[in-house]
Amino acid sequence: MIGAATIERTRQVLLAVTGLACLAYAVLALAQNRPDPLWWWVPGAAGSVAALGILAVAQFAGPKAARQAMDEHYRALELRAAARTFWAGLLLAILAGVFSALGWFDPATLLAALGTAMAGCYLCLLVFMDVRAG
Amino acid sequence: MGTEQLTNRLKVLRAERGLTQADLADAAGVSRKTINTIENRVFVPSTVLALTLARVLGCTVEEIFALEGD
Repeated sequence: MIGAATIERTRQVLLAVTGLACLAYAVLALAQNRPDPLWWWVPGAAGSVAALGILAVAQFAGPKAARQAMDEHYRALELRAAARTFWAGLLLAILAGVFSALGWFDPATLLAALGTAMAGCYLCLLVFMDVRAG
Repeated sequence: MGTEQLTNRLKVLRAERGLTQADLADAAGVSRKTINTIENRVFVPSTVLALTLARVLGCTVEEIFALEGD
């Protein structure tokens, strides 16, 4: 029987994998000082697969279970994760500016790393908060 | 004003009716996690959800939620 709990678990796993893929891409981009440390489409593909997977499970579970899994508590967690990612993003942008000014990294590399790091930060934070909520 | 903490008797009222968190969550249309976080005072529900919980439990909102010290 697929219910709200199944949707929640699926969502946690798929978003965690996507978040970690984004963070890994950012770290590899900085480590190799190039904007495409591996196939450039990996973070986007991971996100698309996660979206399709969550959508498919929610479709099987039905509208009631989908609404339960996406209730007001989860929406509050999303907002909290987004708010914290905003500040993390500002900090990362400042760091990227400093690194760029020092000439340590190519601007294209920093842009790729910044974009994927912010996405990874948001997704991992959201999953962490969701798991911690019990 | 604004510093009062919200307390609740949701766990007691739910147990009195022989409901599990999952039963109550199902009846109120939310996830079990939401009920758990409300009972543990981690999450403050919206007015709509508070009214829904009161309706499901067959009591008033004031019987479930109160300001600390009241």
